[in-house]
Amino acid sequence: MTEPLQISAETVDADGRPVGVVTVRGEVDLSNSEELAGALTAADEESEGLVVDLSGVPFMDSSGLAVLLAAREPWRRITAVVVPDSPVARLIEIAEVANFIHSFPARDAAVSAHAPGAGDADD
Amino acid sequence: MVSGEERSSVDLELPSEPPSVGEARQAVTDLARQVGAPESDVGLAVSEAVGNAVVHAFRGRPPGTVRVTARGIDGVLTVTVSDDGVGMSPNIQSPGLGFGISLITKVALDVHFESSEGGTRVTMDFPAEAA
Repeated sequence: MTEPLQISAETVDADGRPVGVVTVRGEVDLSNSEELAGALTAADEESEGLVVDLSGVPFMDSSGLAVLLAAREPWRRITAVVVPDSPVARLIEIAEVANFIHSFPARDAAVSAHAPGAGDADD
Repeated sequence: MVSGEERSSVDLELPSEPPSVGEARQAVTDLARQVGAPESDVGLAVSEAVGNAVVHAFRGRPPGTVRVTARGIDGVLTVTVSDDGVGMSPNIQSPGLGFGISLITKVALDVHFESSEGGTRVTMDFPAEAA
């Protein structure tokens, strides 16, 4: 059975722009993807960007991917922290959604992508 | 994923409920590790196939059973996921945005879908160099 997710959230500063950071630990599948959806919905609504740190997620299926895609808003773009060559990285690759979920190997880079003028988080 | 017990094959009958996704994935991934199959791809395919059965197979009727079998023979790990539900049909309420089947076809060597009024059966082959 898939273990419950461990999720934490905070707001950080990206060169003056508030960015929500949601850190997830555990496998994400149909049994708990609603937990992830709830956490992303509850993330600071004042934030102008959202970083989902998936570096502690050893596995995710399309139910989690759908949650990430659904959390995108015109006013709040999403970046993700993803371990290169991990199952999550492969999922994003084979689902061909890399243009919608911008992935970075480290949290600092994923946050900096939301800084004014950075452009990396823009679609 | 945590390494499980040594298995020569997998044969599970699970309730069509979300927790069954992880249970099936864990069991088949353990076998994939032993037979040299790509654990991540096998785990994803099993998760998608069982997830599809849980979400789609028993719409409009009481939950049923999902059977998962896996065996490695002659360099191939063959995994089947079957249910006794309503068969395959479009569902706009899908939580996976319809990614599931597409992902399975991308990670498996070969995939075969059978659907009838008696249910759906997905058979997936993966390379297994130690089988």
